Amino acid sequence: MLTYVLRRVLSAISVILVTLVVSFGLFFLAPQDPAGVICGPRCNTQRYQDIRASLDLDKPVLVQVGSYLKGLVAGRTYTSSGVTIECPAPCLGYSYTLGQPVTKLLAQAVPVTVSIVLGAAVVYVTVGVLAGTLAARRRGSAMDRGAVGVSLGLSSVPYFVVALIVALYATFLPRSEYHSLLDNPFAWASGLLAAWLTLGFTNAAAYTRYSRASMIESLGEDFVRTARSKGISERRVVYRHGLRAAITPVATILGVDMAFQLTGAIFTERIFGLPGLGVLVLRAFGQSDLPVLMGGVLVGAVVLVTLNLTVDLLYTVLDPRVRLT
Amino acid sequence: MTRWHRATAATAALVLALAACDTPSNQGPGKDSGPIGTQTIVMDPNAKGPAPGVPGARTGGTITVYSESTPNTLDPTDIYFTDSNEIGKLLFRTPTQFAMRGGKPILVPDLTDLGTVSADKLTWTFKVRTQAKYADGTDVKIDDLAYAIKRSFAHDVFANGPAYQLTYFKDGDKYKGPYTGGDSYAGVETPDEQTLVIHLASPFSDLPFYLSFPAFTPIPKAKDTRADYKNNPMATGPYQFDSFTPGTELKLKRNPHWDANSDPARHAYPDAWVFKWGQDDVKTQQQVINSSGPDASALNYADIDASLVPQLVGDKLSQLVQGDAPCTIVWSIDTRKVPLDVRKAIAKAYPYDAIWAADGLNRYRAEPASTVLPPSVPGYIKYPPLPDLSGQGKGDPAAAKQMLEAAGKAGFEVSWYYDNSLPIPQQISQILADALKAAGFTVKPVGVVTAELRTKTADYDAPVNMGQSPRGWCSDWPSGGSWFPVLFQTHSIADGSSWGMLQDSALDAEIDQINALPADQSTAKWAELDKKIMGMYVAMPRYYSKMAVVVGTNVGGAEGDATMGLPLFPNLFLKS
Repeated sequence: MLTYVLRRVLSAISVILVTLVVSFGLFFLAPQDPAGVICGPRCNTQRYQDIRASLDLDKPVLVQVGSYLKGLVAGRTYTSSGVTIECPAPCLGYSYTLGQPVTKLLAQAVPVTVSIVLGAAVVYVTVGVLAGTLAARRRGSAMDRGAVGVSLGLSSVPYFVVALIVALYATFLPRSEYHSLLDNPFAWASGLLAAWLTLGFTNAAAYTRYSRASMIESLGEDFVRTARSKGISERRVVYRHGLRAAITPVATILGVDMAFQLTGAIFTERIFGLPGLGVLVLRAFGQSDLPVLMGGVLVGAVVLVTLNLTVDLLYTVLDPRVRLT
Repeated sequence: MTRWHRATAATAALVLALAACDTPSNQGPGKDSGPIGTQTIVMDPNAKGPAPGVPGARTGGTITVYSESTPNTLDPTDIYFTDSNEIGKLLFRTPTQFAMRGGKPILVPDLTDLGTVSADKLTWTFKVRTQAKYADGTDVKIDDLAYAIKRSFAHDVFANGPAYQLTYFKDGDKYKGPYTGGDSYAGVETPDEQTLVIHLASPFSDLPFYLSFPAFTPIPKAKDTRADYKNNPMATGPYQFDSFTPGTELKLKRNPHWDANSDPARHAYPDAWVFKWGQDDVKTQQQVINSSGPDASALNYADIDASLVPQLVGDKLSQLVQGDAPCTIVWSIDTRKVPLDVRKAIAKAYPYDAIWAADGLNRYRAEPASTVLPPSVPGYIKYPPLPDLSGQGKGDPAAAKQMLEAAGKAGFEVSWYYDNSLPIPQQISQILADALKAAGFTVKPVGVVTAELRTKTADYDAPVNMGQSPRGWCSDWPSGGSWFPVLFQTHSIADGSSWGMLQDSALDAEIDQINALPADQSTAKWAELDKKIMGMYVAMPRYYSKMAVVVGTNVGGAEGDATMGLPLFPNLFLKS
């Protein structure tokens, strides 16, 4: 087990490092001079050179990669318009368009996205798994057909359409805005409620289907038959034994979904006006703010790798049949 | 640099991308809702605070302002775009300021009087009118005003800020600001605590107008954090920063040390403001129109999307705030590379109506242009449009072809940059290419990505001969003095603000001569020059922009700020 974990952690770190180096290539593959774009049309030579030097663009590529990596572990110093800016580790660069260290911008944006995704996950896992389980228990009943029909219907409507309708017309819900959980938990929850419900219920449709299929398979397994033959109550058979086995593939999908949403909640953030990672990266894309784009890519890679690793490790907890080697 | 605000530019692509075929977006230029009002230069040197109350106004509440585009900076020295300029009116008091009286902008004293000029017109003296305080309770000193002026020369740091001082102020071409040039600058003096003296290199009769810019708000040297100052600038206006998340959100709270009785230009009705940027304009405009819950106290300051216009009927129509915008949008031609005969042929072939439709323009947002100055700038005269410069018409490729052949220029190559990542610029480029090709030109449009477009079109040495930036211009103040010297003098090429890249020393001298005249005398001269320059076919006049924004049902006092083409923030209040 320990060997497996160590191997996966090392593998995760290598993936992140490769992603980091590849994202660094943005500076060279991008169709325009990053310093020129940052400097803008009224740029003078001095400011242009200032930005080039701060980005290390006047140095060899290897030196640039080295400076970037060094900044991650030891911090870095930038010069912007005559001001020296300390960027403490982990320094992911400096956004000249916003005049802020990338780490600070990400630190502001990531909690928003995490709040959206985690809250929505609570909604769709709870609703989806419960509905799927009930449908599986009453397979072929009107409730089963209803649950499957509703989930198919919901998932056939493009997400952004649902989100737009909620944002514009579900005016009984509190206005979407982000407040820090630590500052005001009630304002945090009420400001995110519309996003949670929208993302939650649209995703719950898929989870209903996953859970139903997995539960049907699980309830047909030998261990369930054995449990029933021992005279264990049906409720206990279903929820203690059947559901535990059925939840494993759902957890796998959940891990992938959450990773996808954490790195791609752009529709939700944009439509509900929540200043998360997606909005930050989209703005950076539009303005060719490459340091922020690189930071966004790095955060995305870390999230994806970490969540995949977490899901793998959770297998052993959720399903005793799984042994990691 | 044009101050055509970023909201306009950024939403231009979105506006009408969603427009259906029969929406007002496709109504022709002839369906204009009404002409833009013509302004006259008005100053009120005796205006005193408090500013006349807005009828029905009450205090309290929070106004939310949505916008898709994000102001590029809130450092007062670096502010030039209209969106940040309008926000600056809530934060920064300046030597002079525009107040709206009866819908007309009037220059009034703010921190100082409107100034007096010496006989040789090279020295202006401004007397302090009020003892203002910063939001931290400290006094504004005359040296802070002088320091702000010096700071405005640091264009290596504040590259986006206005630059007239570099041309007109004494030693403006030599002094590099306090960071590298030191505190000693001969262009500004403060002989006593009540007097600010500005020395000029050449006459600049519009200086009192120019001093209304946020760049001239007082900045205490000890509090100047240079490039970091934008994150929490010292406020002297009715509001100060409460919290600021760059690129995303700005919250303003009251400045307890602002004295309404000393301010003839501003009110402070709401308790707080929340600016939310990066918000989809179409969506937030719909929210504002719906005005449900808190959105009743919100507004969006981008021009109304054409797809939403059909909703503005009945009671909803009262949510539309229309006003003037001091801008003319054009398609310029590089006169260094394209001879006059060819420019005339281009004008003959130019498909104004098709481009109007493709650009999604409508009667709320635009009016066909035929002059340099828009109607909202004093000096505008609606002379009969010069041939093929009326801002409307289908274009006549056959006649253009004859003109081109007659000039011996058949097959003349024309090229321009366009944004190939957005559908509307692609369509417009294609329409223009088709029209010019039919007229016998060799066309060479060059597609570039959005982020690259500004840099490419600003490069006057790039291998194109049309469509360079600026593709429009807005008044920096309501006078020809913020148009002709900026756009048509030889130095405009080096400044990156030229329409047509004219290099005519006689014209330079003529502009200088008019610019030295007092405002009441120069106005008529600018009008004459307008027609003369249009006759050089330096640009195809496309349209004058207008302001048409939506406000929530609970927002009162909404009127256009004709100097910015935006709602006048200092007059807004919440009805309940």
